[in-house]
Amino acid sequence: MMQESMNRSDNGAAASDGGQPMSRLSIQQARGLVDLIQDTVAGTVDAIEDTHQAIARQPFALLERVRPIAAPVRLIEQIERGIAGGVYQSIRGVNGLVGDLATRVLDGVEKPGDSSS
Amino acid sequence: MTNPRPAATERLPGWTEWSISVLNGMVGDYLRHRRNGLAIEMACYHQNRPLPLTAESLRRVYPNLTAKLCVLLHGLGCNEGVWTFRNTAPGDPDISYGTLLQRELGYTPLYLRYNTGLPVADNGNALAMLLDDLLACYPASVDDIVLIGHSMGGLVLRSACHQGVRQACPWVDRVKRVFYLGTPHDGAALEKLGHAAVTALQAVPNPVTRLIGNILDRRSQGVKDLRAGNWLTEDGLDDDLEIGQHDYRRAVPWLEHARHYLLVGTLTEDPQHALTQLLGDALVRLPRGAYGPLLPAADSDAAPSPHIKLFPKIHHMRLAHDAGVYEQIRQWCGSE
Repeated sequence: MMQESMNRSDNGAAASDGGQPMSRLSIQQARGLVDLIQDTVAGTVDAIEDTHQAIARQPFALLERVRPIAAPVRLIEQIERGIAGGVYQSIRGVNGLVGDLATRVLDGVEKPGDSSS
Repeated sequence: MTNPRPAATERLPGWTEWSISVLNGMVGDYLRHRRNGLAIEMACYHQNRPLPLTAESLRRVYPNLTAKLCVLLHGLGCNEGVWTFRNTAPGDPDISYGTLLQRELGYTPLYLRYNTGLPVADNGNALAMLLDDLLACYPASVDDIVLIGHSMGGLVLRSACHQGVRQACPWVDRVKRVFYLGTPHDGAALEKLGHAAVTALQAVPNPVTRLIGNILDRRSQGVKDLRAGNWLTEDGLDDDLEIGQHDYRRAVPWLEHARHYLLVGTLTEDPQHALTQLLGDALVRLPRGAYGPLLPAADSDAAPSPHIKLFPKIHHMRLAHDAGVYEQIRQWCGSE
C-alpha cells in the first residue's frame, strides 16, 4: 500500500516559487535524523547488552552450583562481563563520536538564518 | 535521476516526506517527546508545503475561496498525498476528492498533514484549535464545513468534534457532514493482534522473547489507540486492563447536528465472504458495533442507516482515492 505511493513520487524536487525545497531534508529534519539514529543505536546497544547478560548468566549460574569449580567460574564470568562490557562501551563511544561529527557537519552547512524548514 | 522530473511530482510528497510520515506513524510520540526535528506539526498543506493560516496566504492559494470548506484528514503513517488519484498524469492538475468537490460543488479543500503517532485525542484537540484559527483568519464567512477522514483520520475528526463542542468552538456549528472512509470505530484487528503478541511475548520468561516483545511495544501511542478505537483523553487505555474491559465507544458522542457517513471497503465482492468478515478491507473490519445514529446494535431490529456504504473489492488505501467512492461522497454532499 505505501509502496504504491512511494514509487509514484520522486525525491529532490526543488520548490518552484520561493520557500525551501520540501522534497529534501531540511537542516532541522537532518538534525532530527542524526538524533534518531543516535537514540536507536544507544537503545539497541542497551537492549542487546541486557539480553546478552541475561543469557550469559544462565550457564554460569548453573556451573556455580558445582562447588569445586564455583570460584573459577565466577572469575571467568567477571572476565566475560568485562570484555563484553568494554565492547558495548566502545560502540557507545563510537556512536557518540559519529553524532558529534554529524552535528558539526550540519552546523557548518547551516548558514545563519537558514535553520528551519 | 537522469530523466527530468515531471512537474506534478514537485507538488506532491516525495519519498522523503513519505518516509517521515511513516516514521511519525510508528514512533511519532517519541519524536515529539524528544523534540526531534522529524516530528510533524499539524498544519494545512498546499503543494507539499505548510500553508500559513493568514488571510493573505489563503487568498493567494485559493483565489476563488468559498463559504463552503472541505477538510481532508489522512490516516496512520500517511500524508495528504494519499488523496491524490493514482492515474493523475504528470503535469496535469492533481485530482482528489478535494479538487473534485471544489470543481463540482464549490467546496474549498484543505488538506491536513499531522503526526499520526500521537494519541488520537491529542490530534483531535490540535485539529479543533487549528480549525478555530482557520475560521478566525478565513477571508469569507463560512456556512458549511464537510469533514473527510481516512482511517485514523476519522477517529481524529470525531475527537476534534467532541472537543470542539466542549470548548464551544465556533466552527463546530458549521459542520454539516462528516465522512469516515475505512475508519476503525470498533478498533483495528491488526493492532489488537499486535497487543496480544506483545502481551504473550513479554509473559514468556526468556530474555530473547522479552526483547522482541519490548521492541514491538515501542509502537506509537497513535497505533495503540487504534486497538480500541480510543480517542478521548479521559478514556486513555490502561495497559493493565484487558481488551473488552473498556467501553470506549459509550463515551464518544457523534456530533449531534451533523450527518455522519461510513464508507467501508471489502476485500471480496461478497461482504459475507469469510475473508471480508475476517479482514474487512485488509486493515479495518466491517462495522459491527453500536454506531449510534448510524448502525443499530447487533441485537436491535432496526434497519441499518442508509448512511453506510460498502465498496466491494476496494481495499483500505484505495478508499482515499477512488472514483466510485468519490461519486458516493458527491451524491451525499449534494443531497439535502
